[in-house]
Amino acid sequence: MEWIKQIVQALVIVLLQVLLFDHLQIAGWGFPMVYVLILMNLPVQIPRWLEMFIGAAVGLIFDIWSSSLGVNMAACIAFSFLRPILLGYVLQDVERVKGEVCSLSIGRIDYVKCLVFLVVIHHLMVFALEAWSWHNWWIVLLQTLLSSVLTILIIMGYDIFKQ
Amino acid sequence: MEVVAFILICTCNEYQQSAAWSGANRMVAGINNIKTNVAEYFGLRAINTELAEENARLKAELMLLANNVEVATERDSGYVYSHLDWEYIPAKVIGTSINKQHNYLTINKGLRDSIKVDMGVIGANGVVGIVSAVGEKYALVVPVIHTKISISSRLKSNGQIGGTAWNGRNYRFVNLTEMARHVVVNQGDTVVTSGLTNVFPEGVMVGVVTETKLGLGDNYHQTTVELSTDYKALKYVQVLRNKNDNMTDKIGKKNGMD
Repeated sequence: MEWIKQIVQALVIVLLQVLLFDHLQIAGWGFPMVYVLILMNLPVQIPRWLEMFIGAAVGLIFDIWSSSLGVNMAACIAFSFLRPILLGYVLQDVERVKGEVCSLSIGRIDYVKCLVFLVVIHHLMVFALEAWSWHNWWIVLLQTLLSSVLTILIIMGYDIFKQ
Repeated sequence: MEVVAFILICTCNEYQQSAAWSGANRMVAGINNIKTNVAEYFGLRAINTELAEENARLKAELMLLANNVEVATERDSGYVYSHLDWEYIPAKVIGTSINKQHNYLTINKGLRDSIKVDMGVIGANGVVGIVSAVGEKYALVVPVIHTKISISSRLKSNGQIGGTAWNGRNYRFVNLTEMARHVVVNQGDTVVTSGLTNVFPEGVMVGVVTETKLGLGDNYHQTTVELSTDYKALKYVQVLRNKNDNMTDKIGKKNGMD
């Protein structure tokens, strides 16, 4: 049952992202990419090949959406690649939460640490790859910073609300 | 998989050519279409005012044109015919991005409305962009605010030819390039399309010069142009079809240019 719930939640997030969050901006530079929540909420210790495959698929969907083939995909694969490494590093006893959905319940501070790190990496990759040059590097960094703050706030709000 | 993603970026970043893997994808465009239709109800009032204004402007233009036609038929008919060479295909914008370095628009016309790659697109206020990929029902347009596109333009005041290119920062402003030192560029000058390419007719509004700088050692003016098209508010566009396109294509092929 758990995985059905996850799929439904993923679909809702996809729709919210393309219909609402894509049109939200702060000062013209902050664009929340809340869809990384789909990848963040995958169970702890899901097989790594499956995790990266889901990452690639989710990235591809948003690439087609924004006519930027490869950009979101690369960032999402990096996200899915780094998440288990980071979780293993941060969590003292990974075995305790094995198979559990990765959310605030695995330990608030640990979860937030992982979330912040992964979101910043993901956003930096998306904006840098999309620009494909450092010519406007300060725009890339500004977008990364503002968007990351926005994404993290929305995701945290959602997680606290869900609890 | 990371390699696959990077290969995709490298092959597709240059110039979006595939309709199925972009915003012109049938499902993506379909969902966008529904969203635009719903959102439209909330903006009807603004659209109404816009239409009324456009109507007034068109009437004024028509009067001017009618006058021109009279003058031209008396003088010679070449001028009139050059403007009758273009056919307009109306379309609705169903998806826009303005905040990236490589922005795209999606419009609700495609192959079955005889839209082709490289056709010019204009809006009520001026130049919008160029069609880059066409699907059955939808097409993808590269707007002027895309860092890899440049549109051949001309200063209306003195006819100097240059290009408009975007620096990827503010979606309201582009740069006018290739304005050499000796050329006089003034604030408030109007920039229009040059008509040198087959994509746009001559004299379509691009924007107005807002700032121009010439340092001591500079060979070219650094000119900023405010676009007449506001992509954030853009709802309806016209795709331009050059009726002579087949002919020019044939001539090009005959000369081995293609």
